[in-house]
Amino acid sequence: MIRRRTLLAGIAASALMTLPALAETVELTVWDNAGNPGREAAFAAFEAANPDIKLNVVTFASEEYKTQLRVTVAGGNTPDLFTTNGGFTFFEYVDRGAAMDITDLVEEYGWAERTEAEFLAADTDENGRIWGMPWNTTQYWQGLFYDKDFFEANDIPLPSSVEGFKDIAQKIQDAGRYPIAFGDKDGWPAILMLGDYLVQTTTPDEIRKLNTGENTWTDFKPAKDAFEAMAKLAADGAFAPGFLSMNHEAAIMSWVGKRTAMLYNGTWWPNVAKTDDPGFAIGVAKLPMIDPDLPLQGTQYWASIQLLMGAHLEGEKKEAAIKLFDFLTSKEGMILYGNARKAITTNPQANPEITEIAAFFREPEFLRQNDKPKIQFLDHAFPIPVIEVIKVELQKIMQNNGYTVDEALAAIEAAHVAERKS
Amino acid sequence: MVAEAYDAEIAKSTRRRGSRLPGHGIAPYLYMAPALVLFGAFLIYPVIQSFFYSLLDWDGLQPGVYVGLDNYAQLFRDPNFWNSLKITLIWVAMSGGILPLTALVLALLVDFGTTSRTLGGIARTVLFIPMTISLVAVGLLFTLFYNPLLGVINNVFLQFGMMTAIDLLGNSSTTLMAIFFVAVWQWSGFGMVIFAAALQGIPSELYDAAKIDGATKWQIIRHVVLPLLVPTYVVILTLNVIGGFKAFDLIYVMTAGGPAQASETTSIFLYKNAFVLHKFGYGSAVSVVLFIIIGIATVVLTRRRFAA
Amino acid sequence: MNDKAFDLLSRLLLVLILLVSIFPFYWMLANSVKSDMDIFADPLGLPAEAQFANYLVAWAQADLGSAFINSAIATGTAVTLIVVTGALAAYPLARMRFRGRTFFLILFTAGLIVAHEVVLIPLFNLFNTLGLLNSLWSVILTNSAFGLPLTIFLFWQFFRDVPLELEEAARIDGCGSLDFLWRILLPLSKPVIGSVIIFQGLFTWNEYLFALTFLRERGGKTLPVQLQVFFSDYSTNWALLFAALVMATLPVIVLYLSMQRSFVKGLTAGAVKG
Repeated sequence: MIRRRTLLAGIAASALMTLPALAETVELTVWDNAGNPGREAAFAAFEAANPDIKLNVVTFASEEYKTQLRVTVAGGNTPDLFTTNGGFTFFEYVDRGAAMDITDLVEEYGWAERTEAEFLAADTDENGRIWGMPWNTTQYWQGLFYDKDFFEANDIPLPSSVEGFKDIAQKIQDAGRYPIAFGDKDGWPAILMLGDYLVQTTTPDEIRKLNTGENTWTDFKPAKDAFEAMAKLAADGAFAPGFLSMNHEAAIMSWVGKRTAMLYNGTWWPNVAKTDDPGFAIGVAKLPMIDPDLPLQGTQYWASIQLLMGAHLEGEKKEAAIKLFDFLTSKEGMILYGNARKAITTNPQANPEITEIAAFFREPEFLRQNDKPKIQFLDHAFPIPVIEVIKVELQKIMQNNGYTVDEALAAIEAAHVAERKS
Repeated sequence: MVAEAYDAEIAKSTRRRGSRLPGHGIAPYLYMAPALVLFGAFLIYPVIQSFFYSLLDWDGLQPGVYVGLDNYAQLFRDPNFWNSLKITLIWVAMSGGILPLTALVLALLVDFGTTSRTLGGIARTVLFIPMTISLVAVGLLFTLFYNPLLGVINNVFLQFGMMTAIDLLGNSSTTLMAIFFVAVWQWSGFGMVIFAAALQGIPSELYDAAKIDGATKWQIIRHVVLPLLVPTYVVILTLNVIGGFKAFDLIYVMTAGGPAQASETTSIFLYKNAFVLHKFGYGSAVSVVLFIIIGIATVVLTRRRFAA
Repeated sequence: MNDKAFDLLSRLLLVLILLVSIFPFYWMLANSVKSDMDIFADPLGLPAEAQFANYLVAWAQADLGSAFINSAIATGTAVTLIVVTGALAAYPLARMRFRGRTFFLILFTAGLIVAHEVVLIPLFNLFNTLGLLNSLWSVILTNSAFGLPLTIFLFWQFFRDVPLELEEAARIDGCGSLDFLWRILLPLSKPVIGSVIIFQGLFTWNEYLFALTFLRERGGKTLPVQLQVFFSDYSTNWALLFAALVMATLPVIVLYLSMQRSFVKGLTAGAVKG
């Protein structure tokens, strides 16, 4: 028995041993979220053009990714390149010393032109040092995808006010479907919707003041209005049943499968449905407005994923990493990225040449948000503990069992106060 | 039972010979050594480490800051912690109350309700299949089942002409029970296997004697089988209770503790603090407290068995 | 209740429960040969045209060949380790009196309390230091350690109840303690060994968290982790996932079928029914 174990161990060991690399090949370990066709397209092109650099890609599904990245960096195994969410998370890795300071490289290679000034500023610390660059597609949220054919056939008006949505919801149900598909199992769409409702009545700068305490949740009218709007929508049956336990995929499939008439979701729903033509004409409608006469004060539009290089890199590996970084953020790299994901990217130089952009990006509902003041997607605008409390409070509010908006706001303020101190 | 007899024998012999210890020497320790090494290095050591983590304010990335018992003080003031305890206790009560029962029913049904060994074997296998599917997969499967818009259950309602969509998982008052049903579906097989092994231990002479006395199957079960299964029942109850305290995977996959924390057990609360909020010190304190609670519960349930 | 009523009731109940037990598995099977759109459009129905090719696609996409091998090596080694060390440890605890016996018994069974999530980070750092990350040994050793409490408990229970006379007789024949364990006790323990193999085999085969965290390299992962391939950020390849799950579950079912004979003796079955 002991001998068998040794044999097994030997087999296991040899199965896992990597063959010695050719002397000239440099291997880079890159970590990223799973299911990213943009990365796959860009990496394939890079490897074809650079046969002496081998890319070892490690991926996990998004929630798992955040944990695993943290565990691996904490253990001293920072990847050579990796992606992470921006904002507070980004700076946690910087503070840890995991990220390479690329300020001089940005200068040297002229990378600043490859993205918007405010995106780059978000990756820069108080001392003016830059630690990463945005690398992904961006998207708008303030809108509801809807089945044009269904609305026209049943003569249903498009949403305008929160007040009036109840009637529309009723008409949709009478015609045999549920209103809005909304998969809030992980609390994420709700917090993004909150962001959309906040920018209906106030500006990004005012929202950011919640971080310093200049505005408080309990005293900030836009917050109260936004919460009440969402509570009312939920109470009026705007969301399809099961919305608190459904994940994004189920919500999307219910819309694609014609059980719901509208969908609140990001522009990545075609990746889930595996088609961008579900067999009906797609329109983008306004979210029901708190005040239909007030123009939008801002938009959630942000480079949410940043690309970083590890601080530990040196010599050949560092050169190879810089080469890869340069390619990925370049116009050429971003065109590949954007076409694979069918959306506009964080690189304005590349955007005009992305041919595969989905049609709905050209809908007036999205275009009207183009030049509004920008804010991060709300789930990265505040510290994580506050975000988690907001998610829970929103779920409580939307369950409609007597819990008041004031109680919810007080809970969020309490959580935020604790974070402002530190 | 035997151990007490054994101990009594040893005591008798040592009293006679006047020596104090039976002559086993270091043999017991040698036997336990391999297990101790494994256990010590890969279970005890990490647990002790997490005791130390509980004394830190640590985000998993930067070096931790020593804060003494602050995490524990904060924990006792945290309403989310108490909420999670409440939910855990409900889950544990259901686990201990229902799971051993369903396992027993299954084991009895297979042994007494089937007429041939092959049928019995097939039945036992089918009943065990739920255990073989990984927890994550089971959670996903049933989440799809429960989906009011797409799920199987609602499809059945639709066939009967009802348009209503019932959301069992998304409703705070029903979600825990909906998830528990899945736990019953999957975990009954566990106790069933242990009961099946115990049932084998019942001497066939007992059955023969009962039949000679003209007992019906039901009477045999009530008066012969069940009393003999009591010790096993307690064991399975204990295991289910401990498992209940730790319950994580299934609930997390199905609802992630939601909606609005309605299914957030202490394990999930721990996980969220450690891996979502990045408060590893605080999360470790939760794990220490949970550890103590389970320890107390276990001691209470098994006092008599260990007192030999 | 007379025998007739009992038989009727128990058959009815059994059939009902069997249906409930098997239904999700049947559902998984049926949907593994559909296309994803079909699954959502008609969840309950049988496939219109079965796409058996899904199995081949799933096998290739999830690299199931190497995943099966890794899982088999990990599970086989872990179960062997657990049975051997567990039986050895339970033996003195059940049949010898020595200082600290109660302490060690409680120590081992207290291991049941520990949840995987709690020790993830210390274990990761440990394996990192030992250089065992990406080696199957990380998974083998952790699953073995975590499998010991239940195993030792089950063996302990069983060993305790073996009659004293048997051991005395063996000793008179000159049998040492190790001999007694190996030649008499263990053969008697087939039901327990069978149960342990099934449980620990099952738990290790399906174990997810440790495997996910410690095994990172392509080609080095176990089955549950490889199945993640079908989950992307956006969607799940349900049909392929189900196909892969069916394939992943079969070995465990086979293991169960082969092991359950060890604790179903023919005699008792006959005596009760006859």
